[in-house]
Amino acid sequence: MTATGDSGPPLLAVQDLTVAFETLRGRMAVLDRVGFEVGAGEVLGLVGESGSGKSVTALSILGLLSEQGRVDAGQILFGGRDLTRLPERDLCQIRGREIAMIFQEPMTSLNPVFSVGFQVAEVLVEHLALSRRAARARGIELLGQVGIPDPARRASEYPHQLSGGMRQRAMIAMAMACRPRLLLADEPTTALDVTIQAQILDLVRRLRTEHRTAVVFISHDLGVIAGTADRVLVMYAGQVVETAPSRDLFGAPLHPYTRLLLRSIPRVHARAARLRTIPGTAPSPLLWPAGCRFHPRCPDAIDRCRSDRPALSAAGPGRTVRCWRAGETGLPSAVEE
Amino acid sequence: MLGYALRRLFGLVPVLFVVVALAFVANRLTPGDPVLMMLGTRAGDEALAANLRHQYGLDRPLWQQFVAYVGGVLRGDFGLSYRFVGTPVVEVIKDGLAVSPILAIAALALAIPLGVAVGTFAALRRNSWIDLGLIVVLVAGISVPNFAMAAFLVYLVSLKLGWLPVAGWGTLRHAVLPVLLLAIPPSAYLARLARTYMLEVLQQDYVRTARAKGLRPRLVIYRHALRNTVVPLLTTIGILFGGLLSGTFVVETIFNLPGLGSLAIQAIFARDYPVTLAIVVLFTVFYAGINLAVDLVYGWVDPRIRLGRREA
Amino acid sequence: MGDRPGFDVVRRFRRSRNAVLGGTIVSAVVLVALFARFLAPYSVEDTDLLAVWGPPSLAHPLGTDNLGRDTLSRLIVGAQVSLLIALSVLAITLTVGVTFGMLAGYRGGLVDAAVMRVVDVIFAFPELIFAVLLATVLGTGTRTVVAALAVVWWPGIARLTRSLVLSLRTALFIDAAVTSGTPRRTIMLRHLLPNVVAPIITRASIGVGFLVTAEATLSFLGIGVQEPTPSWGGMIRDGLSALRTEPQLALFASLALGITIIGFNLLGDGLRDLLDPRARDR
Repeated sequence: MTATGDSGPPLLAVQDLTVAFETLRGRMAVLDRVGFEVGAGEVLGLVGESGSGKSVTALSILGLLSEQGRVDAGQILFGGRDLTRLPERDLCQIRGREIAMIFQEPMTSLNPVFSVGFQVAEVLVEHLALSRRAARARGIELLGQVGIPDPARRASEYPHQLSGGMRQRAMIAMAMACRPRLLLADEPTTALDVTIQAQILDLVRRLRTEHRTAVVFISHDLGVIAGTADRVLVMYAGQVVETAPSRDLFGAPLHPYTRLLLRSIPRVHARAARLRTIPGTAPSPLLWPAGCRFHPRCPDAIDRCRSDRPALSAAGPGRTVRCWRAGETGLPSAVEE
Repeated sequence: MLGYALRRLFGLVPVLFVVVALAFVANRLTPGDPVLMMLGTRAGDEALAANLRHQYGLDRPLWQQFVAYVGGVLRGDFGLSYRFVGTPVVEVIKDGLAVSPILAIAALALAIPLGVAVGTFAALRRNSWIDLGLIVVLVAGISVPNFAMAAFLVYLVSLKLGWLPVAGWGTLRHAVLPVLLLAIPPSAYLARLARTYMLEVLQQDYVRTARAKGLRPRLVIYRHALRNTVVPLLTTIGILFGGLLSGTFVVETIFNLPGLGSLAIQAIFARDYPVTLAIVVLFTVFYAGINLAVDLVYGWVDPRIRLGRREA
Repeated sequence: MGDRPGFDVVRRFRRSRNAVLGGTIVSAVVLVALFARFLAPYSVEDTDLLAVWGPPSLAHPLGTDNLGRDTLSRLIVGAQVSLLIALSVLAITLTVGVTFGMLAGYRGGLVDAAVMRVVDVIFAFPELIFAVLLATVLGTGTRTVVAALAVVWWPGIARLTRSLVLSLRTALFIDAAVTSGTPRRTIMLRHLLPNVVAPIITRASIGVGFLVTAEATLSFLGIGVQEPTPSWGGMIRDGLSALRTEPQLALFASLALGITIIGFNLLGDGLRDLLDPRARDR
């Protein structure tokens, strides 16, 4: 089921992932049987509102959940091993080396008291056993490769001396240092200016073509996903509600949530006077509705949606959707106004 | 960085000047006539009185005395003692100079690593029984004054177990209990702060990044977390040192150590004001010096200050 | 959801281990101090040179001291002495500190500069050294202790008040009061003061522990409360000289002092958690 046409086993296979958090108010289920696959060299876009569970998914892959987070069920298969069952020591071998992650806020994600070059070299020393000098030299090379001008000078500078875009590039250099097979990118462009965003996206695309790195690209910004992802996964309230190849998803979305999301993107040439929004707000994990979780906000909702939970079912080549009315035509959500 | 250092240095000068001026004023405000006190039984002897008055510069106008005093202080000359007539104050206190700074610095050198280690230890075992037990111990350490703790400690260690001497000065063994006692409150304070900061730091994004890079947990803590925990502690060290200086007064009294603290107390009772005030000035200058040093170290260690905020 | 704000504070108070434990200890000490003269079985000046250094007994539950005086009675009255001193210092420093802090923060300019310079000079002295300075001028005794501690402590309150006022000064409701012509004094008293109260109370509650410690230290050194008035610090000093053979005085006095200060510190921590969670130390 990969877009690049590989018929081999997928690089990463997440199956039935269920994650809960212990809070003062009790156990809060955050992910509910989330499953997907990523093939080698494929860019998978993960879309959803805040609270949909997209970041938690990525953190679970690397075992980086905070103390209160627990994987209750499911498997994360990578390289023939289930990451949820690996002891910490083995996970440390995989992190930064085979699977790497970059985060949304590069200013706080870099340690302010160490130079940028040091933080890049650190990965090389730890995983590839390079000497300090070799790691430092290689680090400068990497900083240059991600498009940082005058990398030798920048390497000895500290994070607060770099601009936002350069910090994010440095993070990417850090992540790519050991040529990982999979990169988890959690909203890497959200905190950046639009022009810088474009440059970073270019960089990510280059990684895929030059190094065959698979990318799980998390964002709430559909515009960003559209230009970069091969396949898209839409999440809502801890569940996967639709998956499809990128072109199919944006051309003919099947799930009402996806349709409403697409419609809410402001368009320059549209004649509508008001911005479209999705009525209501995303439910908190403690108050997930019975039946289909989207039904309170869904224009297509019927009685069945209130009581029965739809399962994720196939809906065409490479597509799945979680909705009772997926096959129907002429639905309110599909009507263009 | 240089600008930062110079500014701190220049800010210090007026304050220290006022401190010396206050000492001078205090001396003039003390009740009684020092010459009369020094004459003692020879009270009627006018010639001797005039002699003494001249020797101590007390026959000159007030502003001249002030200038002389300040000039003297800058050269390390604090005038003459009232108790040991004719002896320079510096003579009286110079033996103490070897004792008190050693005590204070040794206690600080012990307290910093001890506090950070205990605080980190507790933070890593947060909310476990060990952590809770440690917090109780730390609260006691911060709250109970050193002389109260001394009663228990000395009773146990010296008198019942006979391990360490109770008074006197000269060998390493004599220094152990005083330094230990002096170091307990600052260690406890630092440990509590270190625990709080470490817990905060462990929540930071850059620690998550360090883990995401696959660094071993030890490395994450000792390299990434610890650096950022210790840096903010530096600012506290200056304040703690003030408490340490006051603590030397107590500890020297308890163990009968020939240091500046006990000398100052004796001088108060003997109405030897120049000695007391000299010690006050010395301690204050010492305190200011340590604070300056701490500020400079902090400025150096935090690259955001050292290199200034040059955004690219 | 229907709860009055007062209930919430009380509920959180009960949940805070620190506040509850500290509050219990402090209440006990305050009660003892209040009713000291009734509780003390003996007068504190009753010397009995035939019964010097008596061990704990039915007649003297905590023994007697170097002059045959009943230790229990002296400890009880000592509590009153310590608390009275701490209270006096608090009264002075809060009045002086808040006033100057508000003036400095609200008026700004020369007043601000002057007050801050004075604060800087006082802060330049290590903790008790200023007390030593004052002791040389004023002599030893209770009045000196109160004066010294008050001088050392008001700058902290002043600085805190000033920074609170500075941040409040730009608040909208102050602007409204100014533009409607409210006189300056009224603004300070009626608008600024209530908003400053909570953090100041927090600081004060944490500071009481320090004040009791400082007074005890000065008395221990001999430059504080003088005989025959009992003070815990002085009793420890008397006790330490006979520690080898007659530990009871030093140990009981140390226990009393230690537990009291732990109580005040716990209460202070607990109150801070409650009233000013931003300053949290957990």
